[in-house]
Amino acid sequence: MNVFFKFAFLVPLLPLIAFLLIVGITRHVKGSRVSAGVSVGFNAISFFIASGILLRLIALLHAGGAWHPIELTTTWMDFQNVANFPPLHLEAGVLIDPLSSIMAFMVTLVSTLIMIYSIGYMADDPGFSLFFSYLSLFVSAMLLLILSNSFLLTFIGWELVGVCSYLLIGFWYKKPSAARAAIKAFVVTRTGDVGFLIGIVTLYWVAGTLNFKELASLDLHSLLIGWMSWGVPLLIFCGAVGKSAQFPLHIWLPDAMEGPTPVSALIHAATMVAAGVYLVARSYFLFVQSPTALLVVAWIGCFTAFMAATMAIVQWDSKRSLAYSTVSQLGYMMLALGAGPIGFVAGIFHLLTHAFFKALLFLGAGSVSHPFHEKENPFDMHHYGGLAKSMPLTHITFLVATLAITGCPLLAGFFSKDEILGAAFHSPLPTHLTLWGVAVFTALLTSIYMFRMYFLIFHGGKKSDSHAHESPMVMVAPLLVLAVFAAFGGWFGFPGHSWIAHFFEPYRMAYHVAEPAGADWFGMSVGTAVFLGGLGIAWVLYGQGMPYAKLADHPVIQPFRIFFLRKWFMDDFWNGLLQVFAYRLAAAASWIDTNLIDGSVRTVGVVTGWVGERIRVVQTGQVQQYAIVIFSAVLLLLIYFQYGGTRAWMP
Amino acid sequence: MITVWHYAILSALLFVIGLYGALTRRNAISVLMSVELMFNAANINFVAFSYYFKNENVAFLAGQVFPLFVIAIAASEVTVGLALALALYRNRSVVNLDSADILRG
Repeated sequence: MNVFFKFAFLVPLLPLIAFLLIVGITRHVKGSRVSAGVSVGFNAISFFIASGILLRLIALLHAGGAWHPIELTTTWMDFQNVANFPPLHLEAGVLIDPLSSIMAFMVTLVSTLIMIYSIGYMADDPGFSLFFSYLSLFVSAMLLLILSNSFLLTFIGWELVGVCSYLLIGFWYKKPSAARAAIKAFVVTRTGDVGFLIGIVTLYWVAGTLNFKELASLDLHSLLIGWMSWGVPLLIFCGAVGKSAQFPLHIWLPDAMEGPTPVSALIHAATMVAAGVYLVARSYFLFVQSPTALLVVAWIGCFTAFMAATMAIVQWDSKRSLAYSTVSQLGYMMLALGAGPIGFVAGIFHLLTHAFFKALLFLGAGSVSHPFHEKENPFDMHHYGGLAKSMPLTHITFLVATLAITGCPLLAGFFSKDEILGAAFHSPLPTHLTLWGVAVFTALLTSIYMFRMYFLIFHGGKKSDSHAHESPMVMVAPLLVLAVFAAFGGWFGFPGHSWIAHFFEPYRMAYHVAEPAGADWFGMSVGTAVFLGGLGIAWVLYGQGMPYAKLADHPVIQPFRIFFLRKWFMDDFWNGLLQVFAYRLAAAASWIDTNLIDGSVRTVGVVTGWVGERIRVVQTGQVQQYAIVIFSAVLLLLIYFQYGGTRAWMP
Repeated sequence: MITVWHYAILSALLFVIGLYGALTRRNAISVLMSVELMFNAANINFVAFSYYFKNENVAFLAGQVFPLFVIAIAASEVTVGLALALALYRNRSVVNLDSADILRG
C-alpha cells in the first residue's frame, strides 16, 4: 500500500496534536506567535499528506482496472460476551475514495491559507493563541468527519465541528450579540442533528452496520421497507439541513457572522457548512433508492437558493450579504444532489469551487474592513465606496471571486453552476423544469447582489473620512493563492474534457450515469446571459453612486424590500413557535422544578429542623444523666427479655 | 455453707453501690472510684461462678483469668480517667462532672 494511504489517519490527527500543543504549552508563552506557527505547521503537514493521497488516487484511477475504495480500520470497541446485550463490534477507520480525498485536499488547503491570513487579521487580539487552538481543533474534527468510514465517526466529527463553530462564533463572547449568535447557531444545528441521530440509529437497527462501504453494498431496497425508504435518507438530510443552513434551519448562518472573519471564511463558507452537502453525497446510496427523498432534497435546495438570494440583495452588511450568498450556493449544491445521480458530480464540483471563491470573498471582505475596525460595524457598506485605488490587490482578488461566483465565462463558478443548471434541466424528477427556472432566476439574483456589493465597496464616490490602505502581506498572500484557484479551478470541469467527472467515475458507474455529453451550448448561453444581465442591472443601479436610490421606497418595491430585510419573517416564525411551545413547556418545567422537586427537598429539610429543635433539650451535656438513661434502658431490656416477648433467641 | 448465692448477692450489692455512686456523685474522682466498684462486682461474679461450676466442664480457668485482664485494663482506664479529671480541674478549677456540659444541645 502506498505510504500516503498508510498514514492517512495522520491527516485528522496532526491538527489535533497542534490543538493539544497550543492548549498545553504554547498558549502560556506570552506575546509570541508560536501558537500560529504550530497551527500552520501541523496543518501544512496534513495538507502535504492529503495532497499525496489525492495524487496517488489519481494515478490509481488513471491506471484503470477494477478499483475499490481503500479502507484502513482498527477495532475501537468489541463487546462480544456482555450479558443481556447483543454483540457489538465497532471499528474506527478512514475511508479513502475520490470524494473523501478531494474534500480532505480542499479543507487542508483552504484552512492552511486562512490560518496564515489569521496571523495578520488576529494580530492584536488578546485571544490570539486560543483562536489558533480552536481553528486546529476545528480542522481536525472536519477531517475526521470527511475521512471517517462510518456514520458513527462522521457523527462524532459532525458534533465536534458544531462545538468549534459555537466556540468560534462566540469568540468575542463579551459582545452580547456574538454570545447570542453562538447559542443560536448551536441550538439550531442541533435541532437538525436530532433527526440525523435518529436516522443513524434507525439505519443501524435495520442494517446492523454503519460502515459506508458495507451499507452501500447491501440491498437497501429490501431492507428499507415502507416509510423507511424515504424516511431514513430524509432523517439524515435533517442533519444536513441544519449544518448546511438550508430552509427552514438557515436562520443561524447570517448571525454566525458575529465571529472573526477568518472563521466566517473557513467554517461558515468553505468547509463546515459544506459538510451537509458532503454528508448527502457520502450517503448518496440511501438517497438514490428513493425518488421522494431526492425530490425533497432538490426542492429544499432550490427554494433555499432562491430565498437566500433575495435576502442577500437588500443587505448593507457585507459579511451578512455574503452569508446569505453562502446559503444560496449551498442550496445550489443540494439542488444538484437532489436532481439525481446526474447532478452528483456537479454538486461536489460546485462545493469545491465555491469553497475557494467564497473563502476568498470573505477574506476580501475582512481585508476591506480592516482599516475600518474602529467603526461600530466595520462591515457596514455605507462606510465603503471607491476603495479600488487604495487597496489594489484586495480589489483584484475580490473582483476575481465576484466574477467566479456570478458565473463569468471561463471562471470557476461558470463551469460548476452550469453543471448544476444542466443537471436540473435534464433531471428525471417530475418538476425539473420548474427547478431549472428557479435556479436560473436565482443565478440572475446572484449576479445582481454580488456586483451590487462589488460596486458599493470598490466604486462610486470615495467617502470623505476613509483612510483606507492595503492590508499587510500576510493577509494578501492567501488572497492571491485563493484567487488563482477561484479563477482556474473551474477548468478541472471543462465541459467535454471534465477531469473531475473522470475522477468521480467510480460513482458514475455505481449510480449508472452515462458519460457526460460534450459542451452544453444552450446551458452555457443561458448562464452567460444571466451573468451579463445581473452585471448590467447592478451597474445601472449601483455602478456610479446610486442614481435610483429613491426607487427603494416605491410602493411596489418597498413591501418586497421589507419582506426580504425581515428575512421572510423566518426569525419571527421560529420565535413565535418557540413562544408557543418551547417557552410554555419550559415555564411548566420550571414550575414543577421549583415547586414539586425543590419543594419536596425543602420540606424534608424544614421537618428535620423542626424535629431537631424539639428534641435538642434531651441532650443536656450531663454525662451522668446519659448514664442513667443507659442503665434504665438495660434494665428495661432485661425485664423485657425476662417476662415479655419471645425467648427463642436465647440459648 | 457459703453458696454461689452469697457471692452473687455480694456482687449485686457492690454493683448497685457502685452504680449509685457513679450516677449521683458530682465529684469526678468519686465517680471513678464507683466505677471501680462495679468492675470488681463483675470480677467477683467471674471468680465465683468459675469456682462453683468447675465440674460442669466449661472452660475452668477462663473465669479466673478474666478478672486479671479486667484489673489490668481498669488500672489503665483509671490512669486516663485521672488525667481527664486533672484536665477538667485545670480548665474549670473544680472536678465536678456537671461543670463539663459544653456538649449540651
